[in-house]
Amino acid sequence: MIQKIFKTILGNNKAEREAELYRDLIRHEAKIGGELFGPIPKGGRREFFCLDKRTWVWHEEWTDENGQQHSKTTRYDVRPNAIFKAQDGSHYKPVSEQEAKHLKEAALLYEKRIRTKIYNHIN
Amino acid sequence: MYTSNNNPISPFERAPETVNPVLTAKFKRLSEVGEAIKLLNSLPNEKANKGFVLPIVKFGNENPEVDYSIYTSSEEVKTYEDIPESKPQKETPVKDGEEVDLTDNEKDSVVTILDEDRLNSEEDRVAAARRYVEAVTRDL
Repeated sequence: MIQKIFKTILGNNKAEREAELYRDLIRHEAKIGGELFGPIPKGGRREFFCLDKRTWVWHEEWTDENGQQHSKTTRYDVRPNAIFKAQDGSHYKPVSEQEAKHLKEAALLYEKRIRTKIYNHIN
Repeated sequence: MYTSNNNPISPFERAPETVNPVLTAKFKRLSEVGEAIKLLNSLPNEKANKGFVLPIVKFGNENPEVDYSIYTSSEEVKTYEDIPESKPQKETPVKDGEEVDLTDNEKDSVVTILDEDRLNSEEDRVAAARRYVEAVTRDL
């Protein structure tokens, strides 16, 4: 019985550890992804990352001229025939060809950057 | 490395997670991102549409001008079906009794088709076919 509990705890810890590592890697990728679009304005925050194989997320925080904080989160849902996006939890809408092209370019650059800046250092 | 019956096994027969959880996370992430890129690359090219545009600021640009107004754009994006240019042009149906300007060849064809509607015998069909061929080849 004790062995069983011990195994369960170890098992959970291992799974939790992996999940935590996975989330940390995404957080790190998100920062690198945010830098793909140039320097981030002072007081702002930008993240861009691949959440899973069909979802890309863009998050931006900025301060307007009145000093008010704003944030916007855009999810890109890649489907077999088109890309759809939802902003701040609104309904999904199809994106333009131009935006799809930009997203693709950003994704390719993203993959290159995360390999160079993160994964090539993990052996 | 040997199994219980002393057969050597390849190290790749062991799952990477049994080796290093960091490597496991790395492989999972790279695999996920790789799949995502593959999916993006497999998308067909679509016609231009209106809507929000993800800003691309070239890397290395010292002074990127990001238009933040795009984040507050509330313009509804039209679906591809809503754009007239994206749909094949349909022929306008002609109503009964409506006069339509036709070219000479079209007139001949129409006459032939109208005649064919009234064809009963084999002789009529042959005669109509001859008239049709003559009408079509007259200007060649």
